[in-house]
Amino acid sequence: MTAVAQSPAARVVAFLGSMKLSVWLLLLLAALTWLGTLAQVERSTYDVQREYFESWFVVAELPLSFWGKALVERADGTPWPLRIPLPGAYPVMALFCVNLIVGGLLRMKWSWRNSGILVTHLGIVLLLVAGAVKLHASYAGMLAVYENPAAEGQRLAGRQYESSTFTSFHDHELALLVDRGDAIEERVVPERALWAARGDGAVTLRAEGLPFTVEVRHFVDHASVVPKGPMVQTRMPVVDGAFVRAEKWPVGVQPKSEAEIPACYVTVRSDAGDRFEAILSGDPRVPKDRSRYPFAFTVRGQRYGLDLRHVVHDLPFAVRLDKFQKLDHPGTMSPRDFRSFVTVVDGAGSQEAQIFMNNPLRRDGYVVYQTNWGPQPAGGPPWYSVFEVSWNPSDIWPAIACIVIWIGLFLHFGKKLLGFLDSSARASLNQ
Amino acid sequence: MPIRFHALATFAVLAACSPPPTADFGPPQQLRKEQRPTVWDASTKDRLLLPDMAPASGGAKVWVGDAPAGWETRPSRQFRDAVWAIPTVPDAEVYLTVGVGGGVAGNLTRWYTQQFGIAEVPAIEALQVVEMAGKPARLAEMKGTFGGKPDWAALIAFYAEGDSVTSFKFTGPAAVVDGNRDKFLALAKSLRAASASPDPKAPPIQPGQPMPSTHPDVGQAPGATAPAAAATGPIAATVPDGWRPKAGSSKWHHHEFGAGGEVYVSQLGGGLKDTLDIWRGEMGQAPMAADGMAQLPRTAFLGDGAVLLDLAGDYRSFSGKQIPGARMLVAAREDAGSITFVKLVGPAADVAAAAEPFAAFCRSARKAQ
Repeated sequence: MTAVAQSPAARVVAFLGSMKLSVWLLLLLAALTWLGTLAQVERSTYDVQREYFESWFVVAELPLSFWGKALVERADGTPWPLRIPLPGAYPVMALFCVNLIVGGLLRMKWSWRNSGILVTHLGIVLLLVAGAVKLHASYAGMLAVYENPAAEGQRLAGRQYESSTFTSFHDHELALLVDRGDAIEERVVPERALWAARGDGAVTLRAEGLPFTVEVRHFVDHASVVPKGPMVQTRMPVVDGAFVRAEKWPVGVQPKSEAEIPACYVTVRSDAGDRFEAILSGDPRVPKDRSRYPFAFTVRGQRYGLDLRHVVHDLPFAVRLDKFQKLDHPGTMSPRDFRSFVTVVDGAGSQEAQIFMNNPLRRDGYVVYQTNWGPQPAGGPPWYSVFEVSWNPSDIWPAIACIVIWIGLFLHFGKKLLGFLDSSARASLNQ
Repeated sequence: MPIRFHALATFAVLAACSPPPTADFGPPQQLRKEQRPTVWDASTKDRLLLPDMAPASGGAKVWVGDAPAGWETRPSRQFRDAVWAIPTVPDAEVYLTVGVGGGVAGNLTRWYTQQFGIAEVPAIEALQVVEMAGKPARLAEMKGTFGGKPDWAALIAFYAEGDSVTSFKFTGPAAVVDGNRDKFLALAKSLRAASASPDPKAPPIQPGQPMPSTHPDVGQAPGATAPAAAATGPIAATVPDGWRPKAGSSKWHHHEFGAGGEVYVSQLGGGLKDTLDIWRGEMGQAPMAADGMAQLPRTAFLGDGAVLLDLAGDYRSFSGKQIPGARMLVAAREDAGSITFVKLVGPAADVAAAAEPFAAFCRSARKAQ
């Protein structure tokens, strides 16, 4: 017997399509899922998702404990964690997708006999591609509106009854607003550009044509702004009698990144030598107050504002809440059903719709889901409703992928069943 | 080796001197004003949602005590609700601070460790019990370097209400503090809040100190007994003739009129309909129907659109006050989750006469500057 020598390219293709690689990748995915779930005990779901499932590489931590008891204790009594370097779920799933395409579609013999498996692999590839498209091309956020009162006079000034914008749950931005009278000119800097201003760092923001620069310092991801009393000691600068205090989640409470409010210090230096200092806070106010309160300053007779806020997305339509309905399980305050009766308004007119669990509103590529309500726990009236608004080009791809996988499995196991029914094994069973 | 050192040193110097990172604002986007509702002229307090800086003692309270011989009462100021001084020892400080947060443990750590550098903070049970403002209190005593001043001492009498700590503090040179210990403890014992009526033992008003709310108008002739002005809180309004300030009340614009009628301004949380239904209950009336709010007339109070409740019946408040044949007028509005209202109740005949002044009062109401 003489072994046939393979070219390097053929060996790479064989490796990428091998069953052995599939098994290793599935084991890695299982390990990442387990370790990522454990990590959510101490950290926010959003942070863990980014670190374990959307990254290229992760140092996973496995607390060494058995039945809740630490095997090796750290100074603070928590279990000593074993640190395991692993590839992130992102490259693992990308490689798994390649593995399926090469091994399950290209290298597999295209025959009627394999048709079920081929279709199933196609469905799984579509599912993975949908995930990649969602990760890179989609965005989502929150839209909250109060019930619109029946009478015009009952509307409270400032309150949000209708909105054509939604704001990111987690991501922030620093917006520079220019007051143009009837219009506002807006320029934004994403939050990640401000991360260099954490601790003792600083970031200088500029733009062509602007007669000033903005220096950002002491950016704190989870902060509150508090007055500086005589008894309070802080190393942070005090501006207008207040300072930024870094906050920590209490021990035993799972952090929620969507509830964290960033804050920072800004210094505006104009080319004429003016200097303005202020603290900015990303505190959201909707739906009780739809307005934003930027730090305003005037340079060369032009009014500007700086606003640290959740990333704002504009919609091509507005959502108005006509009525919110919450039905509880008898004798409890636990909701059985909550739904919103809304009117969607755009340039072409208006349309009424109901939004409730598993019945989102789909419009112009956006999907509006019912996600929460308030005020909690007391309830209304007046009620407000919270929607998740999502823009996702691959929105229905997972549904299509599931149908494709179902067809593939039906074909495969259907043929197996038919084969069994025609086989001698059946005949022998009948004897 | 020297080459490597020089390279590293050069790199370190360059790194230290390098300018801070820069970033560019994104391209400009033109938006309609309505797309970005913006309050341009908000104060820092409103912009950053800062809590009130006023101490927890409440605006109407003035703290007094019997100054020992040789000590002087000084004007109170923010975070020092009452202040005394020993004129011969300018460095010594004696002052009362009401309702500081942080709890007992946090404040003990601040006093002992942060201010005096004493690492071991005693347990509260180990501290001497003293009397302060009619309450049992503990006495913290410390000596050491305070604010860079060696051989300094402090006596701090304190009591806690929940997380809120009220402390009476005496700091100064150790010899002075030791020599005046008894005087300090006597003053701590004599502390009292004077809020209801003029106190004959109250210290004279010092230059710069605000008048207590109970103080007669300085324009009055000596000996005049004009009623004190009512607390106004954050609402300014023109008080109609004939409304008499209600003595001892901390409610805003709390006045009496006629024979047993009263009117005041206040704020509450909760839903407006629920609150109106509670007041209907005080007049013996059932809660409104679901669409009842839409039927209510509107009136001007802190802007247009406040609801007006006008009820007749037998009044019985939750505190037990009863007025048979009463009438109640309420102007209320809900803003940002809180209800601000003017509530007037009294015998029907008196309220009929007070209805127009009530409307004028509501129209004149505005947020105090």
